[in-house]
Amino acid sequence: MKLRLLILAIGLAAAGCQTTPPLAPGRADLVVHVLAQPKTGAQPPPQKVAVFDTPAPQDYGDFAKVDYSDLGQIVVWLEPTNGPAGQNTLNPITVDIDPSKAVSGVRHVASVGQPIILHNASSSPQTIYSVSDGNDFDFESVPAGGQVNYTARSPGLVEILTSSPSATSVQIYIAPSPWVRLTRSGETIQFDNLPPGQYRLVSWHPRLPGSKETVTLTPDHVTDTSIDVSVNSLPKVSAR
Amino acid sequence: MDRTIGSFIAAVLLSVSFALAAPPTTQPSGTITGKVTAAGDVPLSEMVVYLESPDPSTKFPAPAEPVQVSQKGAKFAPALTIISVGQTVNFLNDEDKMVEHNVFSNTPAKRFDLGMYPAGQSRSVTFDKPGPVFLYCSIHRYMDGVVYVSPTPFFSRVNSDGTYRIENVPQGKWIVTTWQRRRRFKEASEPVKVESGQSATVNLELRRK
Repeated sequence: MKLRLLILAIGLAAAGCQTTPPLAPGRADLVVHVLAQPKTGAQPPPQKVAVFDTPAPQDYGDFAKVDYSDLGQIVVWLEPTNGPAGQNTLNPITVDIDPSKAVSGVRHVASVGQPIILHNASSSPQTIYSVSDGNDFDFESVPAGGQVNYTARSPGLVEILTSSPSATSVQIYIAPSPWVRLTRSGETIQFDNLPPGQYRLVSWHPRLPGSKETVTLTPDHVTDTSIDVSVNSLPKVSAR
Repeated sequence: MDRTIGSFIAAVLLSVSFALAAPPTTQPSGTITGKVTAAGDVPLSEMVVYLESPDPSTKFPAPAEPVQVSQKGAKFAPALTIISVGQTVNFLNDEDKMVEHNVFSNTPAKRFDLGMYPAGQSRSVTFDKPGPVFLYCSIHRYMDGVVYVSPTPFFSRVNSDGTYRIENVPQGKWIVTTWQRRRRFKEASEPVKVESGQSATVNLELRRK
């Protein structure tokens, strides 16, 4: 019993000591709470039960509902309102391409100017290409295990394809800013060590309309805000 | 005004308005046929071939008849609907049980939210810009479809073997262009001249680059 109390005390002390890295002098942080909002008035889907001894959730087939509390593929980025961000070092990201593995939706984010390493993770040579507007490229016969480099040119969704006709595309969202995150509803993200000033916080989702917020970051200060994606911002068409 | 002259002017105006609203079939027209192929013999998924006028200012009257899209079984049917600019689509909730749908699109060519509505009701949207309009339901996760809005009333859905046929095309110069729902290749375009009563063949090859 004493041992358990001691472990609990150590755990609580450790939790109490856990802090985010200190702000760099003269810089600013931004904390963003991300939400996906259902249609106003819509009934939420049945609650998930996160224990193992209950029956499997009912299979609703084609009538399965969107779970807005856990909606993925939300992209959030921050861009200065007074023009493009200054020079930032953008580390390369690596994207595995394997036509034998089914993937769907946006799995990666990058920034304009960021190098993307396309790694052929399959066991055979692949042609890796894209016909997405502003980010088209074509690498013929990349050997198994080999890799090629592409630098993102334009903002927007990029679908990376292979010569295998049955394979799904690997999707990357390219943001116009170096401060970008791939997140999901209910998550909190943080942008650290930012130059103070006025920014536009932008959200994007493949289906739902995103939103834009203006935030002002002051030196030596952590700003807290939220952003959403929601069908409710679309123009309404009334019944005739 | 003399009654006879008035009747004559009315008759002339009526005939002029009929001439302006006349369907393309009354003009000298031809047919365009062809086949779309893809490099590497990749099977073609849902595709559209449509005609554009070389003169972008040319306007074409939209068919007055609306097109209907069903939502039965939480599926858009047809999943790919092709219309021309200015045409209206009725989105009918024809479920046989009490299920609400909320059709919306966030596509640049048309952003709209039809709101939630129950079985037995329909909502209409008129599409005034060309391009694809991707459809979803905010309630049901697997419901997706597309309305392709052609810039002219002259279009065809491509058959599974790649063939297509566009009839009643007014004689003159046109541009034949492809659109792929699941884009694997760059879109292809070819100019063509249509002669009255003739059939022109335009084969299009889709390439990666």
